[in-house]
Amino acid sequence: MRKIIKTFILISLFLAASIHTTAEASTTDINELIENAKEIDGSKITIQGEAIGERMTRGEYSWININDGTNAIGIWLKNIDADQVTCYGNYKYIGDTIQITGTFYRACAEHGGEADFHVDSIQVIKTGYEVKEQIPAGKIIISISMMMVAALLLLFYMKKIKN
Amino acid sequence: MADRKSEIKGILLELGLTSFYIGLTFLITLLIMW
Amino acid sequence: MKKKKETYGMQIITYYTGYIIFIVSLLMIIPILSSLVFMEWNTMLDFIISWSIATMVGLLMMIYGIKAKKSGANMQWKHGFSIAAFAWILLTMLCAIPYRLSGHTKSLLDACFDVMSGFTTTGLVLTQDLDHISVGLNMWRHMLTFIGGQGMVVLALTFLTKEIGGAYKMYVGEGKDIELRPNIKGTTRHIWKISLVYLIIGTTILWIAGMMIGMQPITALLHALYMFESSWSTGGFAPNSQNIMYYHSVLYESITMVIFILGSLNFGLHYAIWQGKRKEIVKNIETQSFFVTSFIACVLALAGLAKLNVYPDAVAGFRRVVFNVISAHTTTGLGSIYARQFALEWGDFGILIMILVMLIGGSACSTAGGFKGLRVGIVCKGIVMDVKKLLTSEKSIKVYKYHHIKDRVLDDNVIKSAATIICCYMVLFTIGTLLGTYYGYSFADSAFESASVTGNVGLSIGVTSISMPSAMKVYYIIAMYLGRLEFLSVFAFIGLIAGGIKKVCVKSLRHSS
Repeated sequence: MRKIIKTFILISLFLAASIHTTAEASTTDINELIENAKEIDGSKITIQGEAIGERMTRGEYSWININDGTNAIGIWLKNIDADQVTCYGNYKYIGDTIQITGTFYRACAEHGGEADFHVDSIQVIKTGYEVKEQIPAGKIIISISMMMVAALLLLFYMKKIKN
Repeated sequence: MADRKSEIKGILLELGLTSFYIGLTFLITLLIMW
Repeated sequence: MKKKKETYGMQIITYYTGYIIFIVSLLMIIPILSSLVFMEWNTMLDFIISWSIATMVGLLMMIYGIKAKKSGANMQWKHGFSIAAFAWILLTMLCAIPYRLSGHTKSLLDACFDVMSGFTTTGLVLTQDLDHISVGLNMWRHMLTFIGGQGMVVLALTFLTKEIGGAYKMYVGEGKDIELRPNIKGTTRHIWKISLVYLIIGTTILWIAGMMIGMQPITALLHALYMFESSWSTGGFAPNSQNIMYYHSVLYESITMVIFILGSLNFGLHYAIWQGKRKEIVKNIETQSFFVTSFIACVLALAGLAKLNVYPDAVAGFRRVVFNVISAHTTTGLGSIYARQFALEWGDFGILIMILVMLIGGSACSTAGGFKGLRVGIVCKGIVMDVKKLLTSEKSIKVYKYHHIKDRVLDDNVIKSAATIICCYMVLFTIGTLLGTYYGYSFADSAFESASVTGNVGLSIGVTSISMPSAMKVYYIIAMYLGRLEFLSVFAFIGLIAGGIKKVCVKSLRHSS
């Protein structure tokens, strides 16, 4: 009985660990891709970043730009894969964090020599969200009072010019 | 009216010549990198 | 009698500098409205605060100098130049306030760097997290290059209600001297007309292109506006961190190339062509000079990079080499490769070609920087002239000419002025390179970045970053400023201040003795 329970626990732990590792394959920084472009050119690699701006569909494939904090790069993926990304980053939103595995090209022949990334598989790690704006009360007070002072100064100037 | 016409012609000439120059550079690129 | 003149001098400078500041700060209404439309409340308040501060500074200065305006005191060249130089310094600091308040810049120095980069249409960026920047702030950044390309003084002079004697002097102080019309107001209005007509045409074309490549209508319009302003002004800013690579589009790259080449041409040339003098485009020394140098540079760069097998085919060669070479030559600074790729993939030959074209620059009296094609053309023709003089008989007296809007005499004075300013740029470039190497950057990297700064280009090889030594940031700000205003007005301003300080010291010594 004990042996069965022990084995069961070990197997569960093993499964849990392996699921954990597949969810976090070793990712490369985008900046590293560029710094070592010649070596990494054409090889399969995994990168992770926030989807920014907007998606640009070109026929059956799309461009999505991702930024991982070190740099930003364009990824080229099939429309079905691109459909998984719903939130894109800008002033008001933090976009979906996606992890993609694919091929990095230093000077992609398909795309006029651009340094880009062709996606094989994509996974949305974290969904994006809206960044709620917080306006400090002090700012409102300062801006109103400054506007009033500036307006007064303008009136003063116009008076002086008339004299 | 003649003023406006010559301005429009001028703009078209500038756009046209610049595009032509860029086309020329593309041709030379083809020549060199072929 | 002398005392009175000096007081008016200070007041003339203060009044008109204040006036320029007041007019330029009115532009902050545009980002305020943009932020209002897109409901970016923090940004809107940032700009309201900044606008209030700038308006107050401008008004205070005008109030201080009001006696000069009322008495109609005479503005001399030294005043005009100083006004241009001083206004640029103060506006750099005032226009940095919204950047600082946004939190996207690490320090006030970084904010001033970005503003000076915008005004001088350089395009080097220290602002962080561009991909999450507000519409209001992006509107402001790109507007700054558009205004700076025309000129802040030019903008302010457009609104003058009556012609003042010193207008031309302030205009020249900002680095232009071309007269489109007999009066300055007419000239500045025409400069604006040319820019605004192209703004409408260019933005519309880019908007359509943007939607064709897959952008939504509203973002396509915003990007079209930003990229037009950035291209026409030969600035080189872009609304996202990947610069023009964000679009992944040869269409977008080609259209911006047309725009930035046109933007780098002399306003006088545009005016002449629009007036019907169409032959000007081939006869003009600057277009000839640009055609020759840019074409040769493209050929050499393509050949050099083909040898290293950097790019796979002709389309890549066009999009990555020709685009960047012409972007550098027109001193635009839009980059279709990552900054570090210049360092890691182009090799010394490619980098050197880039340095040379960045220094040569665009046309005079345009939005471009660098030595200017006019000066390069004049010096080259001067050399040819000297050789010809040696070869012809001493009895014949031939007058050599060059054509720039009209036929002009190529005499020693003209050549001397051109060569002197080229020397000033070379000194600026050399100091920048020295500074870079002193702080440990490689020779190629230091020279590339220094050329980019000196020529107000904006392409980076990776040196410009927030971790760059502050001394370099300060030097780059000064170099961008000197390069854009073409030295003389800044020297005049410094001379005026030095003279003023000297007088104060002499006075206090006299009083104490």
